[in-house]
Amino acid sequence: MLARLTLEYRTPYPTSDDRQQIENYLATVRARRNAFEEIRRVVVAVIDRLIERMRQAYPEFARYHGHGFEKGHRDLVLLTQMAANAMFLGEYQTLDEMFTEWYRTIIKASHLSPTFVRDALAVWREELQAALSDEAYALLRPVADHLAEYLTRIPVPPKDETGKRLPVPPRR
Amino acid sequence: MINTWLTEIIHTANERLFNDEELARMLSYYSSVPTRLKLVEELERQEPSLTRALHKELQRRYPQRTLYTRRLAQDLVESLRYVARAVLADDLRLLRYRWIDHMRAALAACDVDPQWIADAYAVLRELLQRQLTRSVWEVLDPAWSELDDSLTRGLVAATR
Repeated sequence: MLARLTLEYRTPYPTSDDRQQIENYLATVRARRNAFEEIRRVVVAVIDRLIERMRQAYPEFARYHGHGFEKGHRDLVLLTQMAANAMFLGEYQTLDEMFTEWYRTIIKASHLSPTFVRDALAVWREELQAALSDEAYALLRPVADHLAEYLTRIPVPPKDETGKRLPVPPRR
Repeated sequence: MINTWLTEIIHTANERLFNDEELARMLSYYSSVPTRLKLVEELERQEPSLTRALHKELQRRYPQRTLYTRRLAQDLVESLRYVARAVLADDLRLLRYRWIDHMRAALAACDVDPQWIADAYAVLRELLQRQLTRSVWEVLDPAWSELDDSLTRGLVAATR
């Protein structure tokens, strides 16, 4: 947020709104640093559980994508790390410019259905919420909600390559 | 688009978590931002009085220099907006690219003796040092040194 604001303000000096935004952000920095650390600790375990639940919900997925779940694991760890960085910075516009649009293109190119992506990201948020403290998740939530909304805004592919869908198993 | 060290960290950390060194640098900067904001506020608030005081003082010290108009005093005080931006972002490259390079080119094109501008900035510096609180002056000082250097060595060389 500070990186963007210091470069982009168009008035001679930052406005009082700009200054207020900076002060509000600074007041949360310590909590953001703690939340960042929590995410760093749990990220791999969260994605392990997510992939396990998705394997059960989409038992035919591997027929279409030989190493799809392994690649998905790697990509979702990446997504979570980028979300943690965005949470720490207090804004996700930079994340979108650098990462999210590219990531959505990969999802579309893999012919994943909106339902599949929606399921994966719902489980992602659920697992993150369960793994993090309430305070940490509250800070991550705006970024997680944004990503879930942004990445599921994709067309239904001409040929769905996710296979049969069973109910997503509940968290254990 | 000019990037600051902070935007460079953000872009370098693409597809991975920020590392401890990057986080430490950001946190250290954040701890100084309230003072930087205070400087920005003080500069903005004092623009009109600084302009008046600078013009008056330049006329008193250098009565023969007709260059020292009120307009010039105002331009110099308004150049502090670039200083403020660089200090707020903690990156002097913003000052260099957005003001110093432009000033060098303008002075060379107008055939103005850079020493006269350096003298005027020296007076402005004295006024600021008197009016700003000490902690605020300390965050301003590196930017001021950058400005001084450009007006002595760099600017003189560039305009010859």
